[in-house]
Amino acid sequence: MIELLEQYGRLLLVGHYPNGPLGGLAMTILTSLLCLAICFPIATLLALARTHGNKTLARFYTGYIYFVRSMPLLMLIFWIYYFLPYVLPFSLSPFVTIVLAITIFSSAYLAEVIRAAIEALPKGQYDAASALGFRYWQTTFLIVLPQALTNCIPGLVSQFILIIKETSLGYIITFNELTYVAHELNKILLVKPVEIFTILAISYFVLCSGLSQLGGQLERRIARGRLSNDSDQ
Amino acid sequence: MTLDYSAILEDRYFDYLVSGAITTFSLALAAWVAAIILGLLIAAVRNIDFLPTRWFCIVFVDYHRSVPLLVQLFVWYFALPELLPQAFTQSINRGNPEVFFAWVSLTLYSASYMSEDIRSGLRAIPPGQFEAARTIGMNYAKMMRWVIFPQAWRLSLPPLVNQALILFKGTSLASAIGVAELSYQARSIETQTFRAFEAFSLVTLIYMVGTIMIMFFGDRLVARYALKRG
Amino acid sequence: MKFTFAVGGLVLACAMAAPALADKLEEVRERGALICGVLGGFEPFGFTDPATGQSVGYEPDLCTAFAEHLGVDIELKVVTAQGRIPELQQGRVDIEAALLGWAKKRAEQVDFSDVYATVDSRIMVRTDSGIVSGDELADQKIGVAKGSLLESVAQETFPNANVIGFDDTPATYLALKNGRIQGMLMTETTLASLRAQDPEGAETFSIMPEIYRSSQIPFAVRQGEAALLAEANAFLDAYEASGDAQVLWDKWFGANSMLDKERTMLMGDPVVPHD
Repeated sequence: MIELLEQYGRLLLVGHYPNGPLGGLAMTILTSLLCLAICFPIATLLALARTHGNKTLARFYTGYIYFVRSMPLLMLIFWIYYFLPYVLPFSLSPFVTIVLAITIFSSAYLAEVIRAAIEALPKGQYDAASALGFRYWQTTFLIVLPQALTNCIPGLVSQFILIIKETSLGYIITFNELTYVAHELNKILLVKPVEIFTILAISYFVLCSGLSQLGGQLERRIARGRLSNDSDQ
Repeated sequence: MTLDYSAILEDRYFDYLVSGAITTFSLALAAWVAAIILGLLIAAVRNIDFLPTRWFCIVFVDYHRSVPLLVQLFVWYFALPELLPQAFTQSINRGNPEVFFAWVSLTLYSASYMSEDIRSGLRAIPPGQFEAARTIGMNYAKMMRWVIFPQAWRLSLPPLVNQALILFKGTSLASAIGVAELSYQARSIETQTFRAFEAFSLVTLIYMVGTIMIMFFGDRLVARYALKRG
Repeated sequence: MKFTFAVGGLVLACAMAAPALADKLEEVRERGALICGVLGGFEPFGFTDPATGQSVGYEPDLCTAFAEHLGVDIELKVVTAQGRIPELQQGRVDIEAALLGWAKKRAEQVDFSDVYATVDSRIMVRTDSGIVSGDELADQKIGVAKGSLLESVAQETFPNANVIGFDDTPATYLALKNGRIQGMLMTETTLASLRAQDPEGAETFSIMPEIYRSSQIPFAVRQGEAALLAEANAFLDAYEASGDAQVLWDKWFGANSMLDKERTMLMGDPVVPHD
């Protein structure tokens, strides 16, 4: 296995970069970061649509959440990759397909996290804001979101882990991420499946497990911060 | 592009869809039941004050939550047979190894999440109840059976229902190791009839019917039995 | 309710949309590059070179020669067996040389050129199973590559067998090696390469004598791309006439390869229609 890593470790880490396209673990992480960056503002808007109080917006939110929950990600990827180009004037690359599919998915799950955080804020915060004469957007951006989103940071880390795991489905449409590269390597070597799949599993394990430790620490820190704030009052 | 559903609803392809749906539903159900049992077991062992078993549980749960389900399926189906005893592998191969390993992967994956859900359900029970049970002379087993468990399962119900949903959708990945479930059958029909849109829209519809059923009955179950935390 | 609307909307939208009708050949010339779809993992037709990560093989070489013929650069894009027809229909690739054997049903979906290779498909089994004829697998488990025609060939030839489709060739090979399946049905050149690539291959596997399908392999283009197709046919004739076709064959299938197979066709032979 050590020998395999010495010879092909680079391939698994960065694909054929810099002689060819970037791939492997680096591609997995960059794509996941991009997905997270796109879905965070969308999820925030979705959560606001739910908590705003407008019935139509709330219905849209519920419909969206149900749609995402009712559809396997694999099916969504197939739809975007194979059928969306029929209604678009251009076709979508595997990369765009994966980013789009995961963004649609993760926005819904992250929106639920943010919504819960917004709803968990004490009512006094709103009362205080209206006492200051704040309008809806002032209250939202100056009072509600800064607190709710800070409390969401651990949730953001869990979402990041979910996204990293979801990018593995890219292998099905030949998107150059870690799982696909490992498969390519398996095609080339043919007789080392045990080593390759073990390395693949360990890579994800180290990455995601490390991130979840980090998430746990952040959570404890935020909880401590909240406690000390409370005691200040 | 013209749509023609009759082409994929003739006997042969209709049979594909039916058998795919049966495989998907039964795989999800079998994994859900097994995962609940295993999840309970892990949660129980995790609480025992013995370092090796505790660490085993932590790593076990962490592994299955950190590695993509797709990769877990590959490991079980392609990599592990060379490490397992040969007699065992042979007896599995005589049956249906694709479905068997899909079931194993889904069960372990889901059980890891469930064990955490169950543990947090247990934590939500006030410590006073444990003390009270002890005070009236209950032993550990009796306390668990009559005091803790009736509350814990009702506290854990919403996440368990959610896991059923995730499992049901997760079965779609089993096609990667050749399990003839719904998404596999959609691809088979596509290959043979080139009616890709028809095949995929029907299969997507079946998935949606399944997930909506799970959500609907899950909500009913939760409304009827679940306890609010806090 | 919302889903019904969403699904209904999609159905409607897709039913109404027609594929864009621009001339591919012009597009290729303007772009200055030909995007050619090839397979990965189907040695020696199309596979990935471990050292460089580039697609190599009989078909990538043929694509490169065709691009030279057109006077444009070549861009090779790996497609999955399953994705071959959709990738063409959606215009992600201009042309495919991806072991897409001629078949009547496929000819209704894409347009085919003249033939550039022929290939037979056979069954490979583990030697220690004692099986000596492919027909012994009538009630066993047979692996095929998903999206390949051989999936239905296997089902029709062996109605009582359990036919399992895997995502790619190596997956099918691993399943056979691990004893998950009793045989795999694939083009004989692919089988021979797999067997040669694995150090234990020659002693572990045997290829059965029966031929279950003979395929004619042409270029495939999106329907209606007559100009590009005409260029492809002209290229095949010129390639044969110059003697390059024989050189290419020798490199991957013939005297200079481990397969050492005789060539039984000429490039540019017309397709002989069959079912």
